[in-house]
Amino acid sequence: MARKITIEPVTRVEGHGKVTIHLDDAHRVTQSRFHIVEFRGFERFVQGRPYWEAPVLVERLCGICPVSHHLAAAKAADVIVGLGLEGLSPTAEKMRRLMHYGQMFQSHALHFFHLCSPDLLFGADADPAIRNVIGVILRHRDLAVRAVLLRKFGQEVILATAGKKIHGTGAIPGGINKNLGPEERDALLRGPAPFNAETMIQWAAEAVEFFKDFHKKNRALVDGFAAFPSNHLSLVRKDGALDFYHGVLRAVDAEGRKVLDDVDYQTYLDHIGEEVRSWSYMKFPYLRRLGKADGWYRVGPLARLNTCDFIPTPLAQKEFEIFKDFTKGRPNNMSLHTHWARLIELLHSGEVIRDLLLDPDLQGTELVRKRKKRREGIGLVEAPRGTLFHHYQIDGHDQITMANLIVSTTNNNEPMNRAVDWVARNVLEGQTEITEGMLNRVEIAIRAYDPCLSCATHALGQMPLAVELYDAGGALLDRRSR
Amino acid sequence: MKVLVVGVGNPGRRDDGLGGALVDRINVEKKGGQAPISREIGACPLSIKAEWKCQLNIEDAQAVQDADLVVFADATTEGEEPATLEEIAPAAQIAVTTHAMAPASVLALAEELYGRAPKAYLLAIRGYDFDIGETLSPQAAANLESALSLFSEFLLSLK
Repeated sequence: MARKITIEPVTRVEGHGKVTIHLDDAHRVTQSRFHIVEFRGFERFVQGRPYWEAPVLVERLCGICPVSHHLAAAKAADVIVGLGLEGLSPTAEKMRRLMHYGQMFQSHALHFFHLCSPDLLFGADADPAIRNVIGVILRHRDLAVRAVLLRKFGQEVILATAGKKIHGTGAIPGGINKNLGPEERDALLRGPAPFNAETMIQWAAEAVEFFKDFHKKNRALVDGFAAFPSNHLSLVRKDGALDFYHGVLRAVDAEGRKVLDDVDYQTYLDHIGEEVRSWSYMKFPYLRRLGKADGWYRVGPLARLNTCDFIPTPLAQKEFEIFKDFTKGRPNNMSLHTHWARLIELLHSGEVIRDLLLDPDLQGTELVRKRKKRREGIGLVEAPRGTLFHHYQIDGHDQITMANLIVSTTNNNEPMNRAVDWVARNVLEGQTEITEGMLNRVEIAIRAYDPCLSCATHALGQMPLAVELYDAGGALLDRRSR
Repeated sequence: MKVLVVGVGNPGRRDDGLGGALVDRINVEKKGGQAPISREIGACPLSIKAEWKCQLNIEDAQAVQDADLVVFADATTEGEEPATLEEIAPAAQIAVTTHAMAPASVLALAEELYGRAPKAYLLAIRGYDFDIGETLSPQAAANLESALSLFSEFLLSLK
């Protein structure tokens, strides 16, 4: 009897995901799909609002990475107020960078501890009563305590630069509204141990070692799970360095050939298309040069380490070289290596935060610059989960007439579908019984990308994911929820 | 007695902002010194701290472990109208995403990391409209008033 496995929300679908896997009578996979509702509502919501409100309005998209939306919108507004892409004052640009790297630091620490480590430490088949953050604490208490403080440190950086930990107001069109006071700097740079930049860097370096040690002992799992070739896209600095805040758009294919060669992101529409498929609310971005079928790409930590030439801080660069040596310099297409890449970026973020805190430009007083206004602006940043596009057009009254947002989760739409399909064909196919562990492997594939499933709204009663098993007649055979 | 009220939800998604709206009201009433927020329990003054969180997360374990009593306030899509207040216990759960954490998981984390989880309650306020927007629906706004009354009665019942 043909069966349909569904992983879907219990109630409404805003901000939630659904996985459907169809099996035929012989238990072969005939189709797998991953659905998420996209945030198009926000694009309509900002229309008619003044452009300078955009950085504050759009950050409400997310409670985990609001800084990314805040800064992408602010960068678009910079263009509207007539600044060139490098037109900010040194104080404004460095304050924004500090805010952004603080965001990256806290988000990456949270992901490793909250989502990744339970799966790695206990395995996909472990008892769900243990395979969670409490289980991590019981086995690796130091890791858990450190994770809380790593995240807290990143949030304190955000507080010092954005004014608030969540939904801050630090970035404004053309600059920022505050600099960093010496007391704020010293609290982060020289605070009592362990709460200072040097200790955070040390802990981040040890987190990388933790992953590498796990990798050595579990090579088959880490290397083989949901590995598939893809293109990779991200911002890189003009000299090819890893850069989360600003740069040019670069994409490489699965063999490492440049398929998008360091282009100005103001021209992104010339290079990126968005395909609509009838079964999904979320669009499927692709590189126009390669077409819809072959032009899909990954974004996020793995993609960034595949596109950049080097990392401009010493400890992270050393780890980057080890990471690149593993694939002999070729692009890394192994989904679970995203966790490795994420921890290298955590280390890099810590180093950048420390270096920025030592920079006297943060105490500068030129906060805002403005020149001749334009009617259109595009802002890009590398958010923790990948490249984030914000595009606005305004009218003569400064009101937004068009907004186009391509969030990281949308960029990763096809890769997440491929990852789910890999699990369906390599784990579920041919099985006569679907276990908790098998279904958890579907989630592990999704968790590597940490899509924005439930950030916009999460009211009680809304589970991020539920698992339902139906027979060919539509009768419910089994149901699990997260 | 130190009471921590944690209002959870996204104010940009209409009724999802009920938790934050409750926090705002409590803080306004605190400034006005209104009973029962200004009452004493035995010889101890009642100390109420009310905070808004877009989502709960791991660092909230550190915040709650310092309180004698915690009330999590959140919108609910399916709960009883207008609001319910129930005691909750620590419970670890598997995370699908970093973008949400349950109150029971926060308590479990506090218990394991810091050696104590305070007595805790969940104030679930029924919401109806979770579309993008900045105001509560009329029904949710009415439920907020009921939730405030429920919370006040709860404070008066503390001994």
